[in-house]
Amino acid sequence: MDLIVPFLCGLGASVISAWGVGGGTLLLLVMTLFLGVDQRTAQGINLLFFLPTAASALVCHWKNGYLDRPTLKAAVPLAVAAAAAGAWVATAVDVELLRRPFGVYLLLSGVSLLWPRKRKGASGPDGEQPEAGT
Amino acid sequence: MARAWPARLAGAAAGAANGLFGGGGGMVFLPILSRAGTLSQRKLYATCVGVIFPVCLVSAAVYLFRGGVSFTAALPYLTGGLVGGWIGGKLYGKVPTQWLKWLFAAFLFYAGGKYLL
Repeated sequence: MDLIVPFLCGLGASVISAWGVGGGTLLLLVMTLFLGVDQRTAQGINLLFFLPTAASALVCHWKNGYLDRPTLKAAVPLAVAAAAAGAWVATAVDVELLRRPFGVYLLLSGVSLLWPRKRKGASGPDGEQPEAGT
Repeated sequence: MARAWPARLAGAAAGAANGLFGGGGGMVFLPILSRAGTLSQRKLYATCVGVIFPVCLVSAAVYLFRGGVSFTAALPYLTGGLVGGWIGGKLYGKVPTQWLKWLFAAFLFYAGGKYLL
């Protein structure tokens, strides 16, 4: 039982994210809200969980030539540095401190999922928003 | 290279959020870069995975190193994930996903509320 439920949750989350819905936070939320996994462990599992899926998708995208090199070159170094800092903070502070920011983050994600590609004029500050993935 | 700045900003924001919250960096990266409007939808999504993958790799290493998580705890989820990825790929495009999106958004609001209260 202790293994079956996590197995099935991983399976379900993976099916749904393969369809481009949910992705990154679905499994995390199932773990914290329904399975009683503590926030930090759930975040760590969620990170590990993403790796094999992303790796196989990445190989596919790379073969198809969809990876934009200039964007990667600009984004990856800063992204990796920021990720290391963020992960360090998450493992250093009391994770209860992160509850509220995370809640706000989830609500914003919900909004951006419901209003994809909303265009308000050609160059307005509230331009298009894509559907949220990963 | 003024064009590199949206990518730098999106990368830094997505990396920080993903490391801090253990996921969802793509939901930060996509809106910022899509606003910059330099990439097609397909390239945008693929490149997003290209940024989030090293981000998750580094974050996961930090979590593992600092004892935030163990492989043993993650293993049942990971094996389920592998099977699920295979099933999801087989069924891809055969199941309408619009209703799932609505359901997931509703779930995000529920979860967000739970975290805030």
